[in-house]
Parts: sequence; structure tokens; C-alpha cells
Amino acid sequence: MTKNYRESLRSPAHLKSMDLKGLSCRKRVALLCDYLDGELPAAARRIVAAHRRSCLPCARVLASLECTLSALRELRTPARIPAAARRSLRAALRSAAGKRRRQEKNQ
Amino acid sequence: MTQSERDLIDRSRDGDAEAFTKLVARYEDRIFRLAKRVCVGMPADADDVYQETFLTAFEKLKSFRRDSDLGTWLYRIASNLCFMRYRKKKREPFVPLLDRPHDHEDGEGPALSVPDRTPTPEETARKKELQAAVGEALARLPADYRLIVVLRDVEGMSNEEAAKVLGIGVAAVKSRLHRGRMFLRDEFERASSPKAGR
Ligand SMILES: [Zn+2]
Repeated sequence: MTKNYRESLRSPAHLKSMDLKGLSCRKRVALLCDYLDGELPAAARRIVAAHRRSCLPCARVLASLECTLSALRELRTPARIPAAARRSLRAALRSAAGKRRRQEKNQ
Repeated sequence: MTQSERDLIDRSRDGDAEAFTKLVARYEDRIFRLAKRVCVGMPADADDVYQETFLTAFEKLKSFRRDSDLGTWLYRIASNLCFMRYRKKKREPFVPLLDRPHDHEDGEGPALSVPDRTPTPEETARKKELQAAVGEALARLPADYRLIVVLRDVEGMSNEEAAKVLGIGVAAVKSRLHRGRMFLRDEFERASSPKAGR
């Protein structure tokens, strides 16, 4: 992320003239991601929201990014730890503790 | 950190396996889920990472700073173990994550519309399909990008938390996250395009 992009977000006066079409792909993606993550200051957020209404390609990127992010959130399902792995971890912890006790005794 | 967690950590430091098992119970779901997502397609490795994370933590608990977050520390151990596995496996299939032009000029495609009403069974099935496509695409990301996407967008961490877990800067987290997301988004578009023949 360039310093200029960060700074331009901080000063709304700058942003008024900020042309999303003039941004490189990387910077535009960063801006759209920050927008979806709710990390933009209010003025920048308004500009992206307005741009979204008037620019079809950006609107499509945002819509499909939103769907992608919601699909990723759905992957946060409860984990099913295999019973064998669970048991063997607990047994290994007990044996590590026993080993440590024996070592401390011998010292 | 709660008092009871502090007590459990103190007892675990002294080698109390029973106290440590109580801590394991608090964090193991999250750690296993991370291992499973990152070591995708290698279930035995996910089991190993899960177990090794807690065994390593039990052994190294003396070096854990009590003012830091136990969850973050465990995530960091697990992330390192995942990476080490991938390093051992050497070559991952190369996935180019280059900047692709998303031209402002090509306003041809239809805008995706999100219906407000209750989805039909067909729509629900389609949604499941698209979700599966994103899950499969996630598996094709290089491990370091996958790890960041999982921490941020599956586990719901902030950029700052993910940066702490990985020991890198927030800017580095964000740049990899954005590229990873765009790769997944392209795969999502491909799967959702009506032209996607089968
Ligand atoms: Zn645009």
C-alpha cells in the first residue's frame, strides 16, 4: 500500500477529486476491500458507495467479493476433531508431564 | 484473560497435565479447524498439527508471556507448524496471483443481483454449489495466502490480530489478503457464470 493512498484516505478534500478510474488495479482492490471491511473513514466510504452506484465493473467486483466473503464465513463450521486424535493428544500430554516429573526428580 | 485462565496457565507451567488439558478444551476446536483448512487434502497432517500445537505449547509454556493472549500464541504455533509441513513437501502447484486488469471499460456483464425474498430450493442448492467452489478454490491458494484468508475471513480475525499471529506487518497481511480474495472472487465468478459449462 503506498503512503499516498493512505494519506488520500485521511484527507477528504483530496478524496473529493479522487478518481477511482485513475487508480491502478491493486489500489482499487485495496480500496474496495477496505470498504467491505468497514475500514474506510466516512468520507471515503461515501465516495466508494456513490461510485458503486455508477460504475458497473466496480459494482460487480463488490457484489462477487461480498458473496465470496460470505461463502468463506460459512466455512467457519464447528470442528469435528477425530476421537482418536483427541485421545492421543491427552495421552501424550500425560506422558510428557510424567517424563518432566521424573527428570525433575533426578536433578 | 480471566483469572481462572491465569491459574490454569500457572499450573500448566509447573507441568500439571490436567490443568493444561482444561486449556486445550478451550482452544482445540479453533486450532483444529485452522489446521484442517490450511492442511487441506492432508487430513493426517491436520491431526498432527493439532496435536503438535498443544504438545509444543505445553513444553514451551514457560516462555509464554503472561500479558499476551494465549489464543494468539497457540494460533502462531499452529501456523508455524503448518508452514513447516508445506516447506517439507517442497513444491506446491504454482498458482499465479498476478494483477489482473478489471477494466472499468468492460461494463458488459450483468450485475449480480441479490434477491430479497426467501430463496427457492434451487437457489439454496446453487448457493451451496458456489460455496463449495470457493472452498475448493481456497485449497488451491498457496499456503501462505490460504493461511491469511483463513485467519481473516474464516476465523474472523482483524488485520492486526492476523499480523500478530504471523509476526508480519499489517500492510503485508492486507496485500496478501487482497490478492487471495481476488483469486477466490475470480473463481467464484467463474463458477457462477452461466457460461461455466460442465
Ligand atoms: Zn469503477
